[in-house]
Amino acid sequence: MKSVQRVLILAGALSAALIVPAAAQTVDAIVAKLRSTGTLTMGYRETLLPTSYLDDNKKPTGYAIEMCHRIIDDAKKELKLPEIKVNYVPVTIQTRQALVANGTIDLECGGTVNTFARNKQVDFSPVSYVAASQLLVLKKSGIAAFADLNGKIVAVATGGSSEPELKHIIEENKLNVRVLTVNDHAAGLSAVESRRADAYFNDNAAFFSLIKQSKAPDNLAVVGPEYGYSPQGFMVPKNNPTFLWIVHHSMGQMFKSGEADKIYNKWFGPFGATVGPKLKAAWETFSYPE
Amino acid sequence: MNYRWNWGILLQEPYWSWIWSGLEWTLLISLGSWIVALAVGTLFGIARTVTNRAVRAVADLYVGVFRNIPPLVQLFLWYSVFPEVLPEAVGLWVKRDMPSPQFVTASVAIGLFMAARVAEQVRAGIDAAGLHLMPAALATGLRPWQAYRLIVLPLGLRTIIKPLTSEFLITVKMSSISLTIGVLELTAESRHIENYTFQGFEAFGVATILYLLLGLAVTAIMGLVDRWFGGDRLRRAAP
Repeated sequence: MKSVQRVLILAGALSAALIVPAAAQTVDAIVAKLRSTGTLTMGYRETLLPTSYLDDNKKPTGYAIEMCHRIIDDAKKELKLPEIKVNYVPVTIQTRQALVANGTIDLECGGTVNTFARNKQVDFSPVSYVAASQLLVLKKSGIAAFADLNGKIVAVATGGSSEPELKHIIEENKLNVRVLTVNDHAAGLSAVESRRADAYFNDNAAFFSLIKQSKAPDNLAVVGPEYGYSPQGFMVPKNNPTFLWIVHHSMGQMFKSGEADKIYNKWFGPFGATVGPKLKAAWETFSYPE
Repeated sequence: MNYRWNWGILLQEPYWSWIWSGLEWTLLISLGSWIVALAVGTLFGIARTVTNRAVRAVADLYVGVFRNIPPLVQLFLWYSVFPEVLPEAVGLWVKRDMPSPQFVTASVAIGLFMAARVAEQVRAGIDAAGLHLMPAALATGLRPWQAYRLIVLPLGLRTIIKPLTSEFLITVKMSSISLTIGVLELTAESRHIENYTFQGFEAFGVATILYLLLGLAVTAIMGLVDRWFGGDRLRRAAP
């Protein structure tokens, strides 16, 4: 009889947990975890050069990873912890949101565009990078602007912000374009190189690694005006006000001291990129006084 | 876990039309592949039972190759490698100007994989129900192809309608691998919705229910087909 009761109670508890999962979530879970276990789970991207990728020794590295390590150092000081051990978990465009929303990952260090829709499920750090959409084409295709796309096939990855943007550009310029949906950036590159599509429309942050991956990088060109404003940041699970404050404070200090410029130039400099006016403006916005 | 349920989002535009269009693609790819699988599979299944050794060897080779290479790899080969080994103009036509290249490639690739499995069912059916009548049929003066058409196939194919139901169900679920080449079918559209709204559980929940309903519908339809052709009577009559 007693075991039946126990099963019933357990079933009740389980169904309650399923119905009101938000209530079970404690505030500041990350800080509590840091204090009890001294570990933090960092999400990274495996191939997003030079933002977040695996180096030759299969160790996560890049612009975002370096910024995140500064944040973790500041968290250690702020919470007066002797050491923070970092667990690395690889994420993809498809898995990153869910893994942060469900608390598997404490800090996602990649290049996720901050949108109001995403803010319903996760919180974002200040702007780490500003991407804009452009076209990756074969040089010999002769495509230089959106108007040249008339009658062409354009590849676009599903799930990112570039897909609705492309729709908008097609309507705005009244273009006759066949859209080829691709599953990831590698498929976009392969579509352009195999001439399945004439152009790959995406945010230009992804093009750095694609050109590096290509067997014939000299045949490729990034063209078209920079379209849109895609401010990227690092994702943090909701309900972590203290940790989010540490992230904002740490990044604000990097922006003010010029440390952020140095990290940017270290990683993006080799690709010929400099801190653009939109990124600079975003950084100044987040440089609150102490 | 910190998750905010919002089932209502699936009724909003554009998410509702995404699910609907995903369901349409799943249906089209399932039917397209199933037609390919039935046509090619029946042909090779019959070929595996004939007396001509060369024909049988070709059919055995087909089943051996297509049944043992993972379908995901086959899809990749058809999509990325096959157009490149064709002459350039034909390859470009397959990649760009053929009507819906992704849909056709997915249907053919999944269809040819399933055909190997259907061929095995057809062979088993003929072996079990028809082939032992072959000497009697030939003795009445029928030519071999007449014996197949009038006696062996009607009996053999009728016995396998029930097992073919499973193959059809596998085809429906297999249609989801076409998302790897960028077809926005039901599973891909669920992921699509998750990416934009973070409401993945709702999207995948609805997709699960739709797959279940599709499966139940396929089972019911195949049950009707079986009764129409008298497969159940045949099985009951069997000694």
